[in-house]
Amino acid sequence: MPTSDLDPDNALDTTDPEASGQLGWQLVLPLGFLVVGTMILVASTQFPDTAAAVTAPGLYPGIVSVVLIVASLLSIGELFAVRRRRTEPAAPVTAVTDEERRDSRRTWARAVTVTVLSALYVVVTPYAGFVVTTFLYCFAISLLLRDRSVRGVVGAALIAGGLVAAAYYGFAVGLHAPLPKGVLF
Amino acid sequence: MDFGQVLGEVLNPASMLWIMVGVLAGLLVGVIPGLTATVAIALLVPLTFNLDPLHSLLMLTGIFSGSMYSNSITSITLRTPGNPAGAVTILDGYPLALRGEAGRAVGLAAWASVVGGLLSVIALTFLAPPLASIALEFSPAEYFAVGLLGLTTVIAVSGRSVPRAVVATAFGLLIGTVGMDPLVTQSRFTFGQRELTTGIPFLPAIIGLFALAEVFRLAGERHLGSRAVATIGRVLPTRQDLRRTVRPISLGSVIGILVGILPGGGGAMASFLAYGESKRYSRHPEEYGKGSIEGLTAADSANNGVTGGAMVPLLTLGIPGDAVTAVMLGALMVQGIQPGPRLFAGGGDLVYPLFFGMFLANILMFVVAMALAKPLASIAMVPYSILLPGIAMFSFVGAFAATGRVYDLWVALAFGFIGYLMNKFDYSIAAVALGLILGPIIESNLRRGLVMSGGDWSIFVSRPISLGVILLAAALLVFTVVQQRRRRANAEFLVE
Amino acid sequence: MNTRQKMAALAVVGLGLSLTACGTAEGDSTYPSGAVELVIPWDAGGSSDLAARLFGSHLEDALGTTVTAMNIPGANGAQGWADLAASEPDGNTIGLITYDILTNQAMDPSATQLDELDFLMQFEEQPLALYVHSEGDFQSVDEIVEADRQVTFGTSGLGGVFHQGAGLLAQSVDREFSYVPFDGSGGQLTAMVGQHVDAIVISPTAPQQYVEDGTLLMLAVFADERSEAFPDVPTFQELGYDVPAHSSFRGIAAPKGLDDEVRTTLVEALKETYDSPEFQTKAEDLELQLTYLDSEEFTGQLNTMAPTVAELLTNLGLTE
Repeated sequence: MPTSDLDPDNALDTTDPEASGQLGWQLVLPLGFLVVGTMILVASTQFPDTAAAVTAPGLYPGIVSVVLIVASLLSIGELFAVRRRRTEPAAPVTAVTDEERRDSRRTWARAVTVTVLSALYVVVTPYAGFVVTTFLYCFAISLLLRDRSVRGVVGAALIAGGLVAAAYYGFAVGLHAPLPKGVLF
Repeated sequence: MDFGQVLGEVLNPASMLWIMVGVLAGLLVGVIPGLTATVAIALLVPLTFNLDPLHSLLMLTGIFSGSMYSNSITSITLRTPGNPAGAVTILDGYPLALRGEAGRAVGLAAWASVVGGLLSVIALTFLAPPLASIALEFSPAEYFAVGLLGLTTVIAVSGRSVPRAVVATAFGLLIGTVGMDPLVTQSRFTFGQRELTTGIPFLPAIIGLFALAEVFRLAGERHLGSRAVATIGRVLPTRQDLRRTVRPISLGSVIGILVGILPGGGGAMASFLAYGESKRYSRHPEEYGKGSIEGLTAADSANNGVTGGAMVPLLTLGIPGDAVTAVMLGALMVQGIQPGPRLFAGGGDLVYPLFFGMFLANILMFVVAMALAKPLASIAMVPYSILLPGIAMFSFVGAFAATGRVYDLWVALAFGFIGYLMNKFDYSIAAVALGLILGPIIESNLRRGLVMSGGDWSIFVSRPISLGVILLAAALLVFTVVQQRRRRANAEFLVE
Repeated sequence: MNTRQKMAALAVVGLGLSLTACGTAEGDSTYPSGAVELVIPWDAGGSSDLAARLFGSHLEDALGTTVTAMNIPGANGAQGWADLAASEPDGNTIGLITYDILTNQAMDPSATQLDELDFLMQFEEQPLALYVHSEGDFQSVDEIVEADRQVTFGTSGLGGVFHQGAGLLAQSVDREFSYVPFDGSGGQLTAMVGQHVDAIVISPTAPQQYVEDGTLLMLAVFADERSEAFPDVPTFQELGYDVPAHSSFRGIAAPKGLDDEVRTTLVEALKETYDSPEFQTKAEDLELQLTYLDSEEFTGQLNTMAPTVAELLTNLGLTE
């Protein structure tokens, strides 16, 4: 959840491990934006000169990308500033139990799986069609969150089937709205 | 036409039936992600070919009001926006639902929607011609100025750091520039990808940023219980809540009506402006973004205030202000009715019953919404094993439904990743949405203005309305920054 | 409430249920088998979309099957036409054709070319006209042509048919105007009524009521002869300007390679739809300017116009 505000009660929370630790991870976004801004700035200057110079296509994106670049640099600076200001470890270090470590690994695996599944879904849908792909996708996600018992698996299948049926009848049949069609179906 | 006749035209079983049909269809379509009021109306227009003009209009306005409200339901319970304006409802509605107060949020959203809708119908009935002249006064210079004014809203939705808020907004603005240039033949920033020439579609991007990003976040949550909350709380707004939301709702309604009148404004821009303004005047700005009923009601009343406002240019000038009213214009013309000065001059045989019908539609909508609020809000209690695949699926289906391109699935996915990362590192995704909404308005009107003036930038400050709006934007920016500095200083003082 | 209304009411209320039965009747090989898809390369709700949907709904009767309207907007119609050209030529996919296909072909060699489609008929043609505000700086074509300052023309979008109309005038009097593209003809008309631009070229339906109440002046039509609907408005030729006729049109096409039998059935059904009194009445309400051209005439006209459009766009600096 993005907590909001320039407001006082939200003043930079340095005890939040997400906001302070792992500088490398934190740099991913600002650096990414820096790259995006630079690419757009460069591309903005390379449009061919047309008669309508007043409305050059590069004018506005050029201005905005400069703003993006400057702001990205500032936010990188901010990260280092926060880091320097903090002299002691943010959170009191507590012993990590085996159980917690296993827990964290499982969560991490789950997040990665859902992400990969989503990417796969988009890749596979144009080939295998909406019904099959969506069923498998929903089934897999649902299963991740349920017991690996017979009951859990059957439940996940029912959930996936129900969702696909709802979408299919609601969109394709009821409203004549398009659903992805595949080569196979 | 006297008042008795107007009543007679509307208070009969046939008219009431069509209002009901419209409201129900609108509520139904609105809760389905990706199906906006525009799509709903376009899908149902062929059915109106055989209706009498008043009935067909009553049904269409019913759909308009119904769907504008009901898209809040998925925004609140699932964080999945049904239309662009839902992005603002999410900001406070979803935190409320996570707190176990989905019922309160859904109930108050309905209340705000109905008040916004009713006020806008009243404005439409009594002030349509003078309001329409405002729309005509607006040249590209004025639109540009209003776009800048909208940008000041970013303060209300920004995270803890100013640079990061600016980064997010600028990123949103830049996304809007991808694709064909609006003024000269030139595709921009497509980097050789043919599909990018059509630009980055708005709704799939928003769905990715908010809904898919949330799926990824929940999947990575360490202690994910079996469901988000076990309760939705009370649905009927309490008297205290009603009292607290009087100000944001009135503010939101007025902003909604005004933005609705401007061709090209639309619900999303109105909601953002109302959200930002109401925060400025609120006694509890610190609650915004964490489940403030003021923010929620301001956004929702503005969203529905647009319904009446958008009808103003349509009926008085014959010019549709947005996609929804463009569809309505078509539906009217199929009936052989050309809206515009003639329609009003002709004695209002159609217009006044229509206004009264819209009034009733809002009241009906409230009744139905309250009756359905409990089951709909209960979506928030659905177990994660259904909720997560459900949101993921509807995100993709919703992204796809608008245009039917696989490309839109990729857009939703990409923005899902981006949204996830931005949430994690406290970059405001609402600011990205704001940039996406305002970018095209700002850029195309900036450049139109320059074409009109032959490259002279003074066009933006030499016209009184435009100058006034730009000064207002600057003043609000300074005022807010000073105010927040002072608050922060006070807080630090208290801490020490 | 009559039966049709009741039927419509039922259809809406039972949105999900009542429509489930449609479009599943497949099996025998005779055309049409199953629903026919009508590709509309524009957003839902625009004037082209409505015209197409209206035509489609009456085509259902003539063809005896469901006609499903499918909006595939994007790239000034190019997206929809590309999809249409790529679809199976079995008569189950047809599409709406508008003027813009000529523009796209001229501006982008990779867009759908005329020879990739089979043009079956034209059902509408609207000559364009030039308008100014009655309180504006310019009150006649002469004043616009001889203006000693830059004249701004509002257009409905870059390179669109209305932009090209203004370009034709510019080309024939050998001067340059500045063009301000708005989002669609609605924005274009608002800008004219609000006096933010000096003149517009547009098709006559929407501005008509502003001409009647004296807000706008209709100066000349882009046609070889005066229009029956506006007998008082001169052509450019009459005013002494050599401006070619220019009109927007709408028609129906299918992908190339239709089976002869299928094609005959389809063409007949299209003609029957056009001639049906129900369609004619509704089209009049929608203020469509019905003008029928058969497949040969329509194709011929498109091929004649193509080079003119290409030349014009080059002069306007819109081609690469």
